[in-house]
Amino acid sequence: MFFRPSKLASAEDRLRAVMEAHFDFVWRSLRRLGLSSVDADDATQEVFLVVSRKLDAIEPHKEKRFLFATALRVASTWRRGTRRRREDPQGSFDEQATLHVADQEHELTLGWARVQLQAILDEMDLEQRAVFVLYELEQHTVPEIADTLSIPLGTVSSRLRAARERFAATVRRLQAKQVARGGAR
Amino acid sequence: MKRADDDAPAPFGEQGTPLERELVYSADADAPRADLRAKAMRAVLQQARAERRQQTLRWGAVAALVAVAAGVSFWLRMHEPTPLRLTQEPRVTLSTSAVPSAEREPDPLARCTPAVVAGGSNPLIDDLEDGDERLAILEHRAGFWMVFNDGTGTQAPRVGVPVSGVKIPGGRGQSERALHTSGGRFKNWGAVLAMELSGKRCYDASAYKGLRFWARGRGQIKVVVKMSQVVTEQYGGSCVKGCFDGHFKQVKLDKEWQLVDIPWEELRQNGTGTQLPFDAHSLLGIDFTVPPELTPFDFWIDDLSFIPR
Repeated sequence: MFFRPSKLASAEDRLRAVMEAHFDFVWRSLRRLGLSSVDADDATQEVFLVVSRKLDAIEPHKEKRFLFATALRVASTWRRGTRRRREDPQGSFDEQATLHVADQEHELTLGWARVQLQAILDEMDLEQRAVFVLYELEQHTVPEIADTLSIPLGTVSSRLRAARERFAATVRRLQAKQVARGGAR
Repeated sequence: MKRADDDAPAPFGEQGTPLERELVYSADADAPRADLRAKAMRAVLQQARAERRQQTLRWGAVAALVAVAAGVSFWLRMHEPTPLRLTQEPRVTLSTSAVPSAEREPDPLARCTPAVVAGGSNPLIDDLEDGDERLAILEHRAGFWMVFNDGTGTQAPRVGVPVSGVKIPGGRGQSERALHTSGGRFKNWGAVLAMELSGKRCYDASAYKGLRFWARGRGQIKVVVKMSQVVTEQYGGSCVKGCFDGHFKQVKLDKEWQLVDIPWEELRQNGTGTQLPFDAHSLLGIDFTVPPELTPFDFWIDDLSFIPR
């Protein structure tokens, strides 16, 4: 029999479960790896389609590692400009913050912070950026990152050090500007 | 937050300056819109389902093609006659139990159609000078030379080796090459030097009145001109009973080259099968046969042609 409904159904169930558990993680990772929110919507679908094709080869409980590695490849392709980039109608940070934050001042502060963070991340190359995102924003350990990116521990450490130095230096410059303006942003 | 790798630096979100913490925490507010999230998940599931079905169908199509190819290959193998079996004509005996009912019997005299028709203007079958195993490509003749035997003795060239004209020691007039075969004693039905006139198709040589060739050797050979009515369907003919009693003429050889003419009317059957008049409209091929009683043998054949009318 060519169609095996039970196998198709179980594969679909697993794919649905993986998406429920990790959809936000993939979308967020793609954003932090440099994609606009509109591009992240499309790229997230692309990542999960790759997962659906290779679902049988992904070990249970290791989906997140596979997802980030796939997201990194997809983001890399996107950044090389092989995809036609569309204008992000929501700007470099979307209106989601507005939905969650009632306070206008807090909204402005949060929006400013996200723009600054995005600008700092954009200055990093993709390899440093991936390590920084996993360590600082996703709270992964160094061994977990080495496992996820399939690189040695020493490489993770050196990339993390370089990324953190760049981050800290930029933050120091921002603080200096704030001081120069008399603490007002 | 306690991390497993204590040697790693403290994350900015835990021990950074207020601004560093503010920037890191700002990333947490970034999330996909709930409606787009649900829509995207539905789209992925739909496409994944379609891709899996397509993949299954592709494999199914490949499996079906392989099965069909295997079936066709098997059928072709089952219906392809092997030259070795074709030579087993002396073994065939009439068996009344194997004779089909009268109403199913085809006309034993029926000519095969369609047949390749010789025009009558190019009688040469093969002068053997080109050194290949093919007949001269004249009047749509498209056969090959070959040897067979019953496996009870040795024959040169060996069965399965391409048979072509070889150098005649000392030559024969202007002819430099001829067919040569020799062998020891055979015990069953003997050995054959043979060719088909046009593959497994019938060949209409009625435009000619006989066969002509040069021969040299020792002893005698039987020159069998096979017509389709005496050969079974399996080997390209139409015979259903009393088969493989081909029309022939026995030729006495000499150590010197001699020209042999065999008019169609001199061909006779052996009497072991259904007796039929010779019909030059429906030829399949020509055998130079050496039955066991005429072995050992050693003969040459050259410049084979039809006799023009």
